[in-house]
Amino acid sequence: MKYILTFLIILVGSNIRLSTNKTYSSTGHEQFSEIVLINEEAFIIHNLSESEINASLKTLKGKLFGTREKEFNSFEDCTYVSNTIFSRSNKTREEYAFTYDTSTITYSSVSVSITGSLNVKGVFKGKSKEISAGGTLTGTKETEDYIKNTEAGTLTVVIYPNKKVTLRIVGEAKISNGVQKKFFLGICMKKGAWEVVNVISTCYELLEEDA
Amino acid sequence: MVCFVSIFFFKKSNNIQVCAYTYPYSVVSSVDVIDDIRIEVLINSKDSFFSNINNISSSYLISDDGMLNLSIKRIDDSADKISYKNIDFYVYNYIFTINFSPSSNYELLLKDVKLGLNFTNGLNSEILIGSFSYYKYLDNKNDITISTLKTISKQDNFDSDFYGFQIGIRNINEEEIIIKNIYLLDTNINSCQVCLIDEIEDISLNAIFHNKLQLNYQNLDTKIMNLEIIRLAFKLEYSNYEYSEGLRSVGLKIVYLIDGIENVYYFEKFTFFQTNYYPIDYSLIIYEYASN
Repeated sequence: MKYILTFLIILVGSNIRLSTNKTYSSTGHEQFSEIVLINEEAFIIHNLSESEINASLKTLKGKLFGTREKEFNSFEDCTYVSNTIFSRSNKTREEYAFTYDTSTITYSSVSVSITGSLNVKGVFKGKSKEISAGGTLTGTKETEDYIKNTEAGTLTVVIYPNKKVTLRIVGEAKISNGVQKKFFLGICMKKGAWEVVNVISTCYELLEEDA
Repeated sequence: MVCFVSIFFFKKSNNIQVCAYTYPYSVVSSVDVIDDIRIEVLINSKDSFFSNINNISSSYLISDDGMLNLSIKRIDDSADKISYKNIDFYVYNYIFTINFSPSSNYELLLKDVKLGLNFTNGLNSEILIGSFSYYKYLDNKNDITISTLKTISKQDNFDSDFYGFQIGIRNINEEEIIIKNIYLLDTNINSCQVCLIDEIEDISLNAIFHNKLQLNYQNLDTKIMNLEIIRLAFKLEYSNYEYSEGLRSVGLKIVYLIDGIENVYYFEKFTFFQTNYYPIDYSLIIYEYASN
């Protein structure tokens, strides 16, 4: 009896969604304020409703051990806008120079977003290989530290009266997403939607607007 | 039943194999700044003598165009691993300080430059690393500001690379200014196609240059009245594209006239484009050294 009770506790526990304090993101990925897919038929998980995700999960048949997965999009091209690095306004009557240390700018070259009870590491390792198919060079990361620093240096800008200067990162990326279920002894232990964004290129943008 | 058991002894090569991607390295800064430079070196062995900073007695950059002494500051293991010709290479970042402090404007352009390392065991290694463009300036004028910089990273297809940029320049001087030249401070960028544009837009390169009057890159001859902005689009023409893949941070030098007198404004390196993927289909030179 106690074994059945233990088993039921494990089964229930693995499907409980832990509530976590997440910062709001308009894309589901904290570092991206905007993601635009080139293929109009592709989509990001953030734009799916919970009922749509659940409906897709229901199409995954059970198995004894392992993973069932349905991939919606695989390495789809997209452009992104990252969160603003700095934005300075000048409401005085004189222009002033502002110097920013660009070596402090970091960004993730791979961003993973999950819903449900999926494990980030499990999704991360499977979808974050460098894309170099067909080439003579292949690269992989030995660690999970995909945080990159931009080149060391300083950026000095002069902010004109009643103007605002913004520095942000934009670029191109590839998105893969889908739904997944993980089974143990025929019981679904983890399930949810996943999405991985592989950043391909980054560009700084310096923009001046009215303050 | 007789069982034959064969034991093969493989003698592992003890040689260190080293190579490096060829990048367009550059430095743009004022004369009172001490510069660091980061150079990627690929080594087939972890924690070898080659990546031990204590083994390096001196370092330098050298090409047919000149030489520059360096001081090794530190060596970082990037944790990247690259497979090339069935050899696993570990990527190390060698950080050097440039041992040179000019007292006035200075330019040094090294094409086909090699990183030279002298080791305490007597080994001298010189590895081709690409090109190095070195610009130092004494004084920066405050007659103009760069209000906008936007990379153009693709042409009409989704081919991602650094093809050009859009720039907005504001005249904050009381007098009229004539922009003569805007140079990209990298020895691999030969020239540019330039046109005047009305707005900075998110648009492909060919669309920007469609039906636009092109300016002469060698003499832009474009006026900016007081407090006005001009906007220009640049389409790059590389003299050596082989060194131009990967990271692309470039400084700008703007030459302009006020009342017929020439002035110069330097804008330090701006990351126009950076790719996260190591180049494919690359031909790297592998240098081999005894491991002791």
